[in-house]
Amino acid sequence: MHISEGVLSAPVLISGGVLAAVGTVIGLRRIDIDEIMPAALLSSVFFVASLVHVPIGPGSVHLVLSGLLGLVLSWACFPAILIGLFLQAVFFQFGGLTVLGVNTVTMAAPALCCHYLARRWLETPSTRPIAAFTAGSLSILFSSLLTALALSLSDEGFTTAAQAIIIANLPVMVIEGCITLFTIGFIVKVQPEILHVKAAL
Amino acid sequence: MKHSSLFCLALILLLPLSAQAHKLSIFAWPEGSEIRGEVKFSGGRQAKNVNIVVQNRLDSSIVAETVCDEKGDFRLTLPEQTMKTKPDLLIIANGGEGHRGEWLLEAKEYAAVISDTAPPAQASASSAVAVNESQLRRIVAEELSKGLSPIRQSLAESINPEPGLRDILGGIGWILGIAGMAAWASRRKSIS
Repeated sequence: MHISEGVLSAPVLISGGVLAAVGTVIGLRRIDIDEIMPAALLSSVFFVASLVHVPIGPGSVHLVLSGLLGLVLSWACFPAILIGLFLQAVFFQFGGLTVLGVNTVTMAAPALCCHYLARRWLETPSTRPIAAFTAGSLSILFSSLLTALALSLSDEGFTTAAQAIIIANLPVMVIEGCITLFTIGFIVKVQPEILHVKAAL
Repeated sequence: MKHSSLFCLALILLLPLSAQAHKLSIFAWPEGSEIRGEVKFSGGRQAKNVNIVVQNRLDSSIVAETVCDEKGDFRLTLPEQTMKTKPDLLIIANGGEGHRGEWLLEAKEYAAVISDTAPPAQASASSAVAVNESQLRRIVAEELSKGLSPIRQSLAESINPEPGLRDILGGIGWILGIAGMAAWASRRKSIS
């Protein structure tokens, strides 16, 4: 999911940077002092998740957990993912500093989409597992599509890139759906106020 | 708050720390009369059939091209023109899907090895047994180059290490530090 340095053309890099900056500013404006720590902890989870390699399927893929961040953090997932990606670029050489903006958008925008799609279904206990699973897996699907779009605007054809990325990430979609499902269930049980929902009794 | 922090910490620590992710790494070193190299995804997953392009670093002109095999290994011979000018070489692996790796092979790294082992202008036709000094040099250089190859390989690999526990803990520390500063800043704003 991380696009490397030197692959994308300058216009794509710049527009990615601008979009990421806008999202980050909105996210930082909306964040409340009580939400800073959950955001930081989820940012750490995101930072480490990329080290978990999924050895299934044809590609070399890893966990992203952007759906979880989107569900819990809403717009604040932009700064959380930006910081996580920055540190991944610096410490692990994943992605790179010039592609930081594009990579932030390809991971945070789908997370935000999933927030608006699935967030209200978290309120009721009966739809909660489905909503969490859908958000976890759809965010990966959308991210794959956005990554393919970014690549196709530079050189590779959209359909070939999209096919390859989506097929490689199919196992990740299922795994992330499950992880998001269980994590949301756990948060609702122990700390429902993070999600602003009532605990299931 | 206490529960969620504990939970998140547990989640972070439970994630297998030895696990991996994807970054396309490329290493190259001179061996004998050719350049050998290896492409892999970080975490050791082999990169198959990745396109390798060798560029002259100065003018970005393409010097040689090849495709790595099923194990991610590749070898290529430099064209004579390049051997004469001996530029710094930028070896680029393009794995598609946004994966790209680069390796800089400086002239001083390969020039000595490859030129020493280049075949001499003429072999002595008179005797098959007699070995003159230049031939001897060539044979020794070739054998030495073969023997040093694994060392060159692991040296090349050690320049690009896998992320370790120190990187992970360092990154988490940074995130918590940034959060602390943000909390402090927004608290000051709410007081004033």
